[in-house]
Order: sequence, then structure tokens, then C-alpha cells
Amino acid sequence: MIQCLLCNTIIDNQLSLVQILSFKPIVEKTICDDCADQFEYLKPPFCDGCGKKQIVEELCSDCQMWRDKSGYLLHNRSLLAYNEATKQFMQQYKFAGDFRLRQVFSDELRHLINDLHADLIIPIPVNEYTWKTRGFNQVVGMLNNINYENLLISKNNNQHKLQSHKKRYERLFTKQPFKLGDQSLKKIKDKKIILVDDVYTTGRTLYHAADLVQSCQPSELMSVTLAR
Amino acid sequence: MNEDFLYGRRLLIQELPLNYKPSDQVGISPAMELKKTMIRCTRCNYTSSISEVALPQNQYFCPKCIALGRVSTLTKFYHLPEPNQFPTVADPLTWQGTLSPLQQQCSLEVCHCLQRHFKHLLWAVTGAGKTEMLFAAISQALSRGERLAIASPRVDVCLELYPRLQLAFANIEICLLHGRQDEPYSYRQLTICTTHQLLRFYHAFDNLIVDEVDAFPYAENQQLYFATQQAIKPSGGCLFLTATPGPKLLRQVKRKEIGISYLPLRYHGHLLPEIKVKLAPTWRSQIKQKKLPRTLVQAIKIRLVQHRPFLLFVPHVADLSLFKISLSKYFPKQECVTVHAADKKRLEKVQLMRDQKILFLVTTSILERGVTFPDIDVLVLGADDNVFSSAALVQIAGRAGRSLSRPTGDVLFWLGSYSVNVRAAIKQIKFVNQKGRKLQ
Repeated sequence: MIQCLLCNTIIDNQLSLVQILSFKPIVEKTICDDCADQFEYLKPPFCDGCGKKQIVEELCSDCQMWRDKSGYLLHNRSLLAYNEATKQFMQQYKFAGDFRLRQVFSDELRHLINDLHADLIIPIPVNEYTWKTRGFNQVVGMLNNINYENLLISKNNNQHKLQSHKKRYERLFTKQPFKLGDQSLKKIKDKKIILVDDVYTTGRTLYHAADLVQSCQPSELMSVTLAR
Repeated sequence: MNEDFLYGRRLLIQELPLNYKPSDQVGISPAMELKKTMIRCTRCNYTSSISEVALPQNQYFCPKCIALGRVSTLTKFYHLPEPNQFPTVADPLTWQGTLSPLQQQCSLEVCHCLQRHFKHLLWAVTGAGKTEMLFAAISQALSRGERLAIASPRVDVCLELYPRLQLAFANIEICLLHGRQDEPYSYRQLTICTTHQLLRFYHAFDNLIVDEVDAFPYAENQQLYFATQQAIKPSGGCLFLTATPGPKLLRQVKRKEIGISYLPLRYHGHLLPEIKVKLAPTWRSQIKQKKLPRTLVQAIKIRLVQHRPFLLFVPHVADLSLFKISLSKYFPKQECVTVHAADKKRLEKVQLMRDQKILFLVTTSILERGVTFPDIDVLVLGADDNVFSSAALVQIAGRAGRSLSRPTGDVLFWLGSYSVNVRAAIKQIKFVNQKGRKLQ
């Protein structure tokens, strides 16, 4: 008997004829079909910069701002649209701290990352306060069967206010919260780098991280997030 | 600093006020107990396998009671023993009503139980006037300086109890706790809360009253049973109230682990209406073909003609629309109102029924308890479905005949086949009626 990790209803895991006859591995469901239907997967056309769903494939106004400000554009791809279900999911996973939920999208996230064929994957770190209270990094938790390197380190500036508790303009004026780890220059130079975060909201966090990576001259820089 | 928010409670670090420094008296205990391959949460007693609930760096958390704030090995519990710091009020009861002789007798028994801190079950039929019977006992306990709580699995029951008790004990401040509120906790002699909130208390209450013990989610929930035990002082007493005790409680009664009192008659002194069963083995396939069992059509027709209001229960939300379509075949002009748990107009529709603007309401088990419509009959289609527990069926049957003007009402069940739950419900109603007849 398996319960849905989100709504606790019992998942009926009867195999279909197709599953029995095919040679594919059987993927165990972690959430029920009703809950799964609530999530909206992002499909093209989307903004070339941040991966937001759009009617035509062009740069959104936020990304134009980032391009002018930073001098480069971060090509972000996300799995889900940030709708009510995703919000609830992040609430339960990150803030309530239900670490079991890391499994829900880890497979799909892995496919998304693997399709981009990167040389090096760098997750966004969490600060020391979060480590003490939450006990896990929500991004690393979802990186199942993926090689990554923690080249970014959170500067401990005793900042107890979480990015997600701030207003939009506050978030945009956040100072650089990261620094690079040892030997970053050697590892990053002339490689294709992917940064991974949980949610792309204003882009501030990812652009801070990207600024540091960009200073080590990678051949290509992209980012992947669970939600946009 | 005032630390009364810790009296008789066990709180996690993240539940404490900001910048709070615990004094030396505060007991600090680990939040989880690690065994070889399992880990036990000390708040809800749930034991999980460590591989399932591991966090990085050899830390663990409890997934079961996570909605009340996560218990993990990263945090600790803070606790202060209950000091019973309350001003004594000689006679706090400001209620002026009177009890029937039967209620009076039950009330005396309840007083006795609370005084001696017994574990006791009060089995009072639906519509017996349970709350009023508690007043005298609560009043005595309060004047003894005891800390009390009334807990119920249902928020709506708590919300309904709070104003009634505040009115009955006008000079006592009452603390109301449930998951949907924003008001902060306050240390009070009398607490009304949902059973989930009991998880935060530890050896707090001299007497705990649990209302509707048979209702979801309390019934068969090991975490909440544990919470109930933990919330009571080791020397404290516990009173369970219900109209439909489950097998577990009755077993405890049989083993003489808890005492029992009966109130088998309603406040107007009449017996419960008994269930009449009609077999309709093909009702499932009939309703899919937009047909209804003939006997059901007849029963509806009689009530429509005679203008007798009724409630009609179906097992699932999906059955509501099917029933509505089927009914329109037989009674094309008749308006049919359906209501279910997620219905946005739920309260308005129930109010329409209460105001007698509509003759009948088709519903799922959400209206099984807590609602009173004066002179109704109850019809249940598919009473043998698994969603109806025997307790739910007794509660549903208890919707009929609640008023003095028409103390009897018909309760008709249409079944695909006889099920254990239906049999148990019929047996239970017969049993209390047998007890009631002796008192009439």
C-alpha cells in the first residue's frame, strides 16, 4: 500500500497490460493522479531567457532588463509553471520540511538536466541557518543520480530573512550572497555549466550565482529550476 | 519573563517566541528516540523506518505530525509542568436552564466521574443534549481549580461549542485552539480544541472531555489516542462522549477499563427511529441507466405529495449528479438540490433546507452529524457502501425525529446487499432503544 505524499490517499498501483508487456522499468508513483494533474508542465514557446511560458518565443521584459544590467543572458529552463499546486508543493517540501517530497520530481528534473549535456552541474547552496533548521538543501535533495559539485558557498551574513519572505523590490536589491569555492576557476573555465535552483522568481539569486560563474569564463552557462 | 505558554505543554524551538531564553526550570527533552532501524517521534508516537525519513548528515524527521510543525532530531522539546495557577471562582456556572430527570441523573454521574478522575464513556443517543449535561461537572471541576479541556475531532463542533460554553461560563476565559486560526495561544483554565491540538500538550489537564470520539479523524487514529493520553496528567481523568461508540471503546468497557453511562432517550423522551431496510440489488446499474429502484420512487412520491421534508444520502459525490438525472426522469418538474463537502454553496444550501424553502436535499455523508432539521425523514441509497461506517449510519439515522413536534420519523435504507456495517447499525439502534424502553 502506497500513500500519495501530497494528499495521503492510497495509490492504486495495479499494473496495466502495457506495463506488464513492455520491457521498461516500472516507475513507482509517489503522488496520486489527481495531485499530478494539478501541476502544469512548461512547454514551448517560452522566453529564451528565463523559460517562462509565453505566447510567442521572444525575450520577456524582465530578461531584457537582466541582459542590459549584467551584459549576458542566463538561459534558464524550468520543469513546472509556478501555479497554486507548485506553491503548495514548495510550501510542504521546503518550509514544512517534508524531505520525502524530493523524490516527486527528481526523475523528471534529471531528464531535463541530462538533455542539456552539461560538463558541470552546480546547485545553489543554502545558508548555515537553513542547514541548522531545515536540515537539508532542497536543490541537492532533488538531484538524484546526478553528479554535481558544490562550487558555490553561501556567505554567512547572518541573514535570517529568507529570499521567499521578501517583497519583489527587496529581492531585487539583495546583495551577493555567495562566494566561489576552491579551484573554481580551473573547474569552470571553458566548460558548459548548469546552475540548478528550486524556483526562478525574479532571477536575482540565479544572476548573483551566474555573475560569479561568469567571472571564471565558462564556455556556456545555463540554469535549470523546478518551477518558473 | 512570563513562561505560562509552556505550562503543561511541550513545544519545539521554532514554536517559542523570538528571542526567548528559557529559565532553569524549563525541561528540555529530545524530540525523537532512535532505535536500531526505527525512529520514534515523542510527540505523536509514530515509529518510522529510518531509511524513509532520513535527512542528510544522519538527521531524521517525523512525517506523520508534520502539519503541526516538523519534529526532527535537529530540534528539542521545551516543557514546564502544569502549576494550576488559576484564580478560584466559587460558582462559575451562569447557565440558567433546566435538565430533564434523565439528563439530571446522567449529569450527576458525570460530576462523580470528573471528581474522581475516572476514565468514563457517556453513551448518549443523537439529540440527547450532551453539552448541557456537562455543565454541572465542568463548573465543579473549575471551582476545584482543575485545568480542563474539551476536545473534538471536528473543527465545526469546536466552533459551535465555544460560544455555548462561553455563555454558560460568562466569567471564565476560554481558550479556543484549532488549526485554522490566527489568534495566539493563551494559558486558560478551560480549553476547547481539536484533537490534533492535544499533540502540543503534555500532562496538562486534570480532566479531558473528548466529544464525538467515533468521528473522523479521531476514530482509529493511533497518533490522536496517544495525544489524548499524553495531554492528561498521570492522575487525571478522561470522559468520552459519543452517540455511536466503536468496537474498541466497547471492548474497553467490557474489560472494565473504563466506566460507562447510558442516555438512551432523546431530550424529548422518545426512542430513536429504527432503520427499515429495502433491498435493491441492482440500484448501481439502474442509476447508470438513469433509473431508480421502484420502491425509492414510491417513497419519494409519497413525501412530495404530502409535503414531508427529507434528506437523501448517497455514497459518493459522483452519485449526486447521476441521481439528479435519474430523478428528473420520474419527476421532471421537481427541483433537486444536491450538496457535497467541496460545494462552494454548501452553507447556503443547508440554510435553504433549514428555512424549509426546499423540500429535500440530496447529499453525501457530510451532513451525517452536527445538523438538525426539525421534522425530516431520512432516506439512504446504497447504505451498504464502504464509505458508510456503522457509526455514520447510526448518525445518519439520528437526523430523523429530533423535534418535540414530530419525535418520530422514517429511516429507510436501500441496499445492494446486507453489509456488516448496516447490520451493526441496526443492532446498535435496537440496543439503545431496548435500554430506553425500560426508562420510558
